[in-house]
Amino acid sequence: MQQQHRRVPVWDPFVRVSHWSLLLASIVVWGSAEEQAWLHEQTGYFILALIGLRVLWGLIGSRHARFSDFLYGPEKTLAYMKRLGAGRPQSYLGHNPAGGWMVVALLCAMLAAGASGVLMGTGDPEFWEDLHEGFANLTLFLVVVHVGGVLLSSLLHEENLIRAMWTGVKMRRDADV
Amino acid sequence: MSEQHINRASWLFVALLLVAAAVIFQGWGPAALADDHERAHALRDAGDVMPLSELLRRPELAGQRILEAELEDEHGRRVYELELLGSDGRVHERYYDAVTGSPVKHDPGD
Repeated sequence: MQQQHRRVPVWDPFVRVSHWSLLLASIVVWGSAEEQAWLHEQTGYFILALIGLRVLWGLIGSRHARFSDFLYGPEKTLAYMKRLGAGRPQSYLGHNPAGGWMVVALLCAMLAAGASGVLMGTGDPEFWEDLHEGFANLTLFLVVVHVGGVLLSSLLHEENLIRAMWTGVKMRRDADV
Repeated sequence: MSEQHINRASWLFVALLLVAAAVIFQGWGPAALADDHERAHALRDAGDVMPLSELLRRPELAGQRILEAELEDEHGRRVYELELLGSDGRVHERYYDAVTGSPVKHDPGD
């Protein structure tokens, strides 16, 4: 076989659309937090709806969209982190173990931010407002780590993961797949 | 499921996301997008709410230090939420009905 690289479909359309929609919605929800209640609240509901669909798709969706494809136990995750620390992490076609847990952490943090935001209209507004801001800040922190992880992974494996999340395709040598 | 079915299901989920967006943002328009200050001014100018300056003439608010004033929509009822700095150095919150100017109980959420 002379063919060196193969285009492998990895991320299905919904994974890609939901990923970039979530980024856009997060920017809008952050920017509208202080002065634009309507836009902030509606965008918050949109994010909650998106998370609901993404979780459902994580159960029934395409191979690499499923939680079962990218949630690894503590052993595999630690082994991955060790090799990452040594600068030569194992390559995964879908999410690597660290990336997989980041997906879950981000979904949980945004879900908690959304839920506490909805609950600000009930009971003790101060209490929910503090929680809401806490989870929003946690989400921002996770996003920074997420982007750092994507850039690091892209460098170490010499592949453009940002483009892969846009096109859905990764390049692989025949031997890799 | 076959590759083709998965792909179709994926686009179905994209469509569901678009439907959700259409429902959630259906009230989209200049009024909805105006920032909260503009909205408050529009309500005041239309006579729908009492101006804040008039509310602040209430005897128990005279001479108080106001840290923050917000006009909020609590389940269809417009409420002024005031943060006051008390003489004891602590911050107090008070709520007033924005139409009548009468005090409402501490937790307008209930």
